[in-house]
Amino acid sequence: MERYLVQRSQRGDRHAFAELAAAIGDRLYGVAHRIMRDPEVAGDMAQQTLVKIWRDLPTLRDIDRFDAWSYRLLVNACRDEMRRQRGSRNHLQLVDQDSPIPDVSLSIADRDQLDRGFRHLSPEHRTVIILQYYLDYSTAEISTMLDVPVGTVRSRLHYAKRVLRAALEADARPAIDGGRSA
Amino acid sequence: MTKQRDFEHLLREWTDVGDERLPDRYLRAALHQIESTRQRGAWSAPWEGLIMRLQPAASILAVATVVILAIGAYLAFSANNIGGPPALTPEPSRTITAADLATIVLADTEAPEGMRHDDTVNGVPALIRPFNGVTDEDSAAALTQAGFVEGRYAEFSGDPGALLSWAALFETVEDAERSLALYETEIEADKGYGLGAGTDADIGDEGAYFEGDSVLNAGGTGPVGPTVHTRVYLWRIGPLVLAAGSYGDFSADDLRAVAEEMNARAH
Repeated sequence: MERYLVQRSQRGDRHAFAELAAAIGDRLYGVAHRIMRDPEVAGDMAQQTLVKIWRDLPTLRDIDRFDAWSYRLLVNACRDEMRRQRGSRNHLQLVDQDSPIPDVSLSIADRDQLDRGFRHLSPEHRTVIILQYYLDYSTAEISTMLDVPVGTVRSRLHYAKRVLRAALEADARPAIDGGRSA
Repeated sequence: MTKQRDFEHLLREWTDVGDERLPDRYLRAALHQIESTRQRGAWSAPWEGLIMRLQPAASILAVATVVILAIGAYLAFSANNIGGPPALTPEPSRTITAADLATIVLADTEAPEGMRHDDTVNGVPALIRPFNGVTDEDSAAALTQAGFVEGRYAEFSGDPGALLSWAALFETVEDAERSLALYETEIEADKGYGLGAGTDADIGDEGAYFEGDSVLNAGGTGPVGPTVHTRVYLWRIGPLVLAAGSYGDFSADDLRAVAEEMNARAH
């Protein structure tokens, strides 16, 4: 069904695109929320990306790559927005505390530390973490999606995980380093 | 404690915050925006890269064509002056010149209802335009067509699909017949449009109508595109080869009307 809607949308069918947007909007929003850590900004990113998808869809040659292509547009929009925000001083928020976040075995303290660590990552490092751990893309798929070498994806993942791990470990040793983790 | 956990598992858990819904206001705003957002030309996209790559070859061919025409004109002039026999090339109903192509191919102001003009291109790149899925072999065959004088196409797209109005002028009827056969093969063959044999179109000196589903860029070197319903009129009037083709829901009657209009303008 989604493939059919993509085909129709490619040919300028706005009704088909409305259906397609409704089908993919939640997924785009979910990824944007995880990268941007702000529900309002994530909504803006999803909205912008839907418009870009409509505008550029005729240039997509392989419909089977629609998902990866649309995520690429989204992460590019998120990257640009983060750079813009950093230019006007960082006002990124922690993940919205009102959002429905099921607490499985991850403690609230761990989640908070990971959020804090994540905030210190660049757009590129955030993106690879979300693409791999939320969307389950392989390093090869991320490499294709972002148009960077596989080695670059691996090094970004390595660095991002080191930062996140350090954030968790800082939480685990407040008595040793003077409570710096808070 | 944290060190002992499966860090990878922890990261997955952290990113898994459950299903989220895009608030309606963002979806509505996006759909409102696309009402005034024009899509990038659907028809032209697969060709842009190719045409860019062909620019150096096109320049060389353009120069070569001018030289060949100049030599031909000189020889013809010389032959007439010494009383040689006139050429036996059959004449079209009128002598068509390169300048006439602008009045035969649909103008940018003649977009069918529901469509907009995407692009108009002249010269050598027009020779490659009717190909679907271009290999090096295809481009060599298209770009080295004997007797090529001038080409032009205009393309349109919109809600009903996409439309191509195309013409190529050759020096002689024989050159145009060879060109017609080349494009017929492209339309019929699986590595081209895969539409099989056409039916008599009863248009021009000779011509055919083709209809069926085509896989965009089938047999080409780039990624294969979507499958689209395709209709093509391909015909010849003297040394002029013409085509009117559509993708999508552009109706057979509307395409026939475009072909007949182009045909009338060429007479």
